[in-house]
Amino acid sequence: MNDYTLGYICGILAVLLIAVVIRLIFRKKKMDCKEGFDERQLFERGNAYKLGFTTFMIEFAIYILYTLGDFGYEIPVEPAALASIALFIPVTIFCVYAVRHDAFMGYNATGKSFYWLYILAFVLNIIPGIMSICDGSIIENGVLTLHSTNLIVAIMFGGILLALYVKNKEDKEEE
Amino acid sequence: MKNLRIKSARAAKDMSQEALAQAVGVSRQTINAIEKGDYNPTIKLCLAICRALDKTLDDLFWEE
Repeated sequence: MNDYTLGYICGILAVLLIAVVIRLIFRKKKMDCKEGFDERQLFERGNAYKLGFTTFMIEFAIYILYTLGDFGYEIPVEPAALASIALFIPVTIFCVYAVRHDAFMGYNATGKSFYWLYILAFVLNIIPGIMSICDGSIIENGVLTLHSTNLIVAIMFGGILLALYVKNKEDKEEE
Repeated sequence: MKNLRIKSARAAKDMSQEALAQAVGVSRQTINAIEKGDYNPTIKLCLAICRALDKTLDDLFWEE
């Protein structure tokens, strides 16, 4: 196991730990101030989950077909990077759908904390992403490597931020 | 189908969508979706809206 893989695993574990801590804090807050989603938002979130899950299934169905068939073409992506892409596409679809249908944040949430959290996540990922483009580690021997993960995550957060910005603008015009 | 009766009842009470949303515990967009006819609320939410606007279910939701 090389240093990068070890760092990657540590990064995933750190993100999971932070997510659990944030979840626990939110759960406590929820009890205190009744913050949550209303019935329409829960319905739309259900649709968003359905869409994300369907996308995930389609991706894997395509991959199974690809591995079964002999197309004489190698996907120029490392398996771990391919799995990352397959994971982040449905997540992005879920988030963008939820944002578009006003179901991303609870009805009491102001949205400012979300913005800053997502901007921070975008910046923290775009910097190593650009660095890996500059040092050429993102593509080795014509194959997209695991080093592309930061860039993929940055694109995901960028997409969500853009959706939040557009939705916010539309809402202001509507009011 | 648009629900103009909620809109007019809300206007009669001089309430904004935001104020009604806060009164019944939903998002402003949910009230907007109900008024536009994009979302059918549950009976629980219908009753909450009726109470907030001092109207009956028939007044706001019954279609002839």
